[in-house]
Amino acid sequence: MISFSPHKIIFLLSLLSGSFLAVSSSSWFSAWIGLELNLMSFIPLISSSENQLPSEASLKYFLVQALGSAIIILSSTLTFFIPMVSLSFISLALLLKLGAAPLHFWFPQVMEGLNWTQIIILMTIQKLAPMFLISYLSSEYYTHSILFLGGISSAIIGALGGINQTSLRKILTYSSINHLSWMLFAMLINETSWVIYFLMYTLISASVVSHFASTQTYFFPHSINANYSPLPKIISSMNLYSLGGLPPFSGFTPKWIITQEMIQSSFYLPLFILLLSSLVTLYFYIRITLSSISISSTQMKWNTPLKPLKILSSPLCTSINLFGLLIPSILLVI
Amino acid sequence: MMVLGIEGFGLLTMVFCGFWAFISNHKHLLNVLLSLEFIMLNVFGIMSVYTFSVGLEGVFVMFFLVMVACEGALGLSLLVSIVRSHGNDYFSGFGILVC
Repeated sequence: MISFSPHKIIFLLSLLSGSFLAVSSSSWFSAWIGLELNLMSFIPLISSSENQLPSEASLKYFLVQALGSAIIILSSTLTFFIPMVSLSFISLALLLKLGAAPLHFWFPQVMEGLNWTQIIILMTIQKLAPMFLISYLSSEYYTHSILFLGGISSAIIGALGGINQTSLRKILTYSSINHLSWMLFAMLINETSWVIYFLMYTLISASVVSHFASTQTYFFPHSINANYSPLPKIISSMNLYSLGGLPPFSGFTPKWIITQEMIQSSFYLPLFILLLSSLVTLYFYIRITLSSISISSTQMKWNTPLKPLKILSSPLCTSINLFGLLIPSILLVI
Repeated sequence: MMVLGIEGFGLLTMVFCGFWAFISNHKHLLNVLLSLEFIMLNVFGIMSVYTFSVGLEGVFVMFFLVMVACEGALGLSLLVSIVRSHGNDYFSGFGILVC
């Protein structure tokens, strides 16, 4: 699945270095340079001039991210002159780069044109730099209401948008938007909790996507026929339950931490909206797993070995998804 | 907090004109890339006028220009990729991915 051709390794390294440059910068100018480096290294990974679908997806991604970068560099120049408008514009541009609602409209279309390995990068690494930059802004007075608005609308749109989807990539897009809402609210309260949420979300979504990538299922009916033995089906359903935040799995832990923080800060109404929206997202994850478990597919007479992604194999997936509930006990020891 | 003079206000207006052109409904993709370059040109103007008054030298705007030129080249290469796969750069042809 991941073919480590040389140009992909180079672009992946510069992608990561751009993200780290943006995260560890002391000024908005170097953060902008990191974001530009990130964008310029990601575009060759997703574009292809042979098909219409990847070229159109890469074009849409480029245009949206270039607009966001232009707003960031403009607003960072003007922070001395009109501080409140420029800080609001920077946070809006970073929400645009993340794909958080109400600026999420490019996200399903771009995800639809990518394959699974590119989707892992878009869902996890491309969220790193803008999230950290928003967290540097989250203590400012002018950006607080924008993050609040982004969080609530991301939760609602992520929940309601994924109901009528049959494409697994779009379902994961709306799930990503919904998880972004939890992270945006966590940023307003406690910076450690959103880092924990981001790490857990990265691992869990990578395990979900790696299972889909190993069987090359891109649409909802493919997940029924994809597996020829019951064990991968059980593992994929556990991955999806963990993504939805069901309690015995490890996806519940970061939501639990953020719920507790929000109750202590008395954010009751946003917490209510976030919990209801994550319930709706859990519904459409379970809908995927129900079909694949309960409908019997054709069993092959001979054992074709599944080829999972070499990074994430089945034992690693189950350990990620089952043992996350032990994390609070580690926090007791520290 | 400093004062935005008449030159900064004019350049800021030009930036917003560029944003307006970027989000407008064009027929060709090349117009959108052109408006992106126009935005960056005016941001270059704002930066070169106001970084000196803050205390920085004129070299920082060169870094900005390097990244903007790279971004413009990337946009043009995406245009070439679009023309190779679709045959033209009309925006009405980008309808495959819309759900």
